[in-house]
Amino acid sequence: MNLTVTGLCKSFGDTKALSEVSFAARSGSPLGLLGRNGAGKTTAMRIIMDVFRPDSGEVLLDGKPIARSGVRMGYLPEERGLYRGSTVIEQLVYFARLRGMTRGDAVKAVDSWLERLGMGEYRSRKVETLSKGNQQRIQLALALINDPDVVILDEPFSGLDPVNALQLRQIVAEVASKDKLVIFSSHQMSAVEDFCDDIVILRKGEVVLKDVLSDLRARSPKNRIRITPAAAELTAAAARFGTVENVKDGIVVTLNSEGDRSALLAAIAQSGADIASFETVLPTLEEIFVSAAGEDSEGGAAQ
Amino acid sequence: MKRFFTAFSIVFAREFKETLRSKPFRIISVFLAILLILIAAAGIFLAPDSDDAQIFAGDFTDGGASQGNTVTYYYSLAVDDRTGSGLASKLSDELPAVRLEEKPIDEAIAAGLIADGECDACVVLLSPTEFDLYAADGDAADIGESVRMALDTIERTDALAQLGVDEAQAKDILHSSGAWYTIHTVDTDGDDPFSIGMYLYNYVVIILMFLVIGLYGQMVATRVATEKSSRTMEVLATSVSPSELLCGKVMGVGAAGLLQIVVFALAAAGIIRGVLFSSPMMSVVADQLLNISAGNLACLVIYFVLGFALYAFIFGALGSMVSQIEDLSGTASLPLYLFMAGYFISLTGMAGTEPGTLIRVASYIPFWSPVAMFSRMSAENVPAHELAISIALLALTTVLMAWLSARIYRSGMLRYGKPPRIKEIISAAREGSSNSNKA
Repeated sequence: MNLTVTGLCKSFGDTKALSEVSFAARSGSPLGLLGRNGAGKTTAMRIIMDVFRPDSGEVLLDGKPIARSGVRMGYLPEERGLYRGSTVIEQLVYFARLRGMTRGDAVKAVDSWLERLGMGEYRSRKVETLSKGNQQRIQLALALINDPDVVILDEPFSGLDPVNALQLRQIVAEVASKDKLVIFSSHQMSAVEDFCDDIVILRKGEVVLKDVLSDLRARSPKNRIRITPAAAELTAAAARFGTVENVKDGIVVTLNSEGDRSALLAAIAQSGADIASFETVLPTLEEIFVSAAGEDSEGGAAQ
Repeated sequence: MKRFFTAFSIVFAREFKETLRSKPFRIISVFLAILLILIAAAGIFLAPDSDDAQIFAGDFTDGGASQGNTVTYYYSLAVDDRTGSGLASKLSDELPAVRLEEKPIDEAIAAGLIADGECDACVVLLSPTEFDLYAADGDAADIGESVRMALDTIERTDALAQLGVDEAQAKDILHSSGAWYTIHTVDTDGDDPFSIGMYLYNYVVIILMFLVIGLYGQMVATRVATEKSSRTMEVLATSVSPSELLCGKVMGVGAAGLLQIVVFALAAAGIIRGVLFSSPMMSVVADQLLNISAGNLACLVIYFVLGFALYAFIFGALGSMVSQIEDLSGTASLPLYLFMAGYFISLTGMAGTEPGTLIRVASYIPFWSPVAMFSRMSAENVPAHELAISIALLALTTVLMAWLSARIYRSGMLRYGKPPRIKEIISAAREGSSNSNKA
């Protein structure tokens, strides 16, 4: 499946939520939709899910306007949205049926998911009696219960302890590896790096960066060098070629020019410092994000 | 369309079930149960004492009229026989199911005996064809007629005996079935508008409408607001269209309310049949209540369904505009005040014997007609064409309100922030189309 978002604009009263947002996503290559709070991610997701209509622009799925009735969608919202007074089985079956499943299939799917998540004992428990983490797991099951073709996950690991987070990461990884169209949003950049091939960064309703993650890294400057272990003479030698930052177990040198790599290495050798590693540091997604979406950024360059 | 009804029915079923489990449903059920107990208690309290003998007055089932309105009376009489001919004894024979006790009677003694409950009436036999009757107001005509008929029979039996007719044969002749008649109840396009039964019926209907529309209508708003504040709306919005959700919610809650009224009505009918008929005072009322015309009942169902739907759609739309339950009380008060105005106008209208202009006008205004029309029907026969106009206006307004509410709901369901003002609600209704989806 191919999702194409073109020129989306959406305003709520005087507030412009989206302005000429365009990007694409395809099955099998999860897209990371990133941005600060209020950047317009959720609005974009809702338009994709056919909850809102945009003021202008279009969303096409395989070349046709997207319609909820024509495609199986699964959505995990950022905030948990469950009926607190209903039991787990009741509401999972309810939502599964609303998404087109028969009652029999819905019950089977629910039981299968509860078994997989190790939550069979909670089947008849009311949601309000579950911990936050367990509610999140139920929420994920709800998003995937109808085996959707389009999956949108907004902060799926929020509020989870490391053990639960690992289990859900495995599930999300499995979903991502299948031929599903996945749009993933999280402030946990490590998760985005793990799952997503493509990223789109929004800032104040506009796309400020969209690229394939690996290409983005490949094109990023290679002027940061991490050297371990730290030593006084090492620092002194490196300071001649750029700024030096102390990090755990070593230093990171940001060279004034990429071409100074060899000269730096030679200077270190001359200094007599004994080093264990000398490696180029690629920017983390977090650094890319801050650079593109931060207040001080000039917006970056959308592809 | 198929998809709409599938999703609608799923939402309907859930809302129906949740309403049956809800606190307002239990509260109204308790209220209705108390009402039923009061009805039963009234019947028991007003029934004659059980150790009194029972006669059937006006009951011609023994070879006379076929099943009509059977009226049951229990009497005990104190008799002062001044004829000196043993007439009291013959009277006792002629009224085998009446407890007779002979004692001297005058007005003061009669008042004391009746007040103390020692007898239902006092009879002073002046001659074989004349007697004085002392009774409480409501019983006078019935008891007097019974005694008169009995004395007639005694006199004719004696007259026939003097002509040589054997006494037993004379009684057979006099008690034999004569003319037969069958009672057929005709539909006069509404019950007698001035009947106490109809008045009570309409009064109860107005109160029930107020309870159900007020409580259950607000329940729709609360459910919507709860879904918003708990963020369940986020998941719902991606699973079902706003129209399917709102219609399913309104109809599900409304169906539970209608079921409650039907159960109450059936239980009340059973109690009325079983208890109220035992009381001579209440039997006429009971008869009227149990013979409410099909047209009247149909009006109840139509006005209930449309009236509830009208207000429930408004409440649902307003519920979608708030972000927190706490903000609902202010926002939802407007339709409640509107409905309460109609309620009080209707109750005021029931105080008079003829409907005034205000009630007549209110019976056409869709927001008030569900209650005002019943107030009007308690005082007059409403022509069929006027009923039809009132219902048509209500139906049209309900459809329009459903459409408008769906637009407001679409726009408001994922909007969070301060409680809305009227301007924002109007703006949301305009935005409804741009936020609508194809489903």
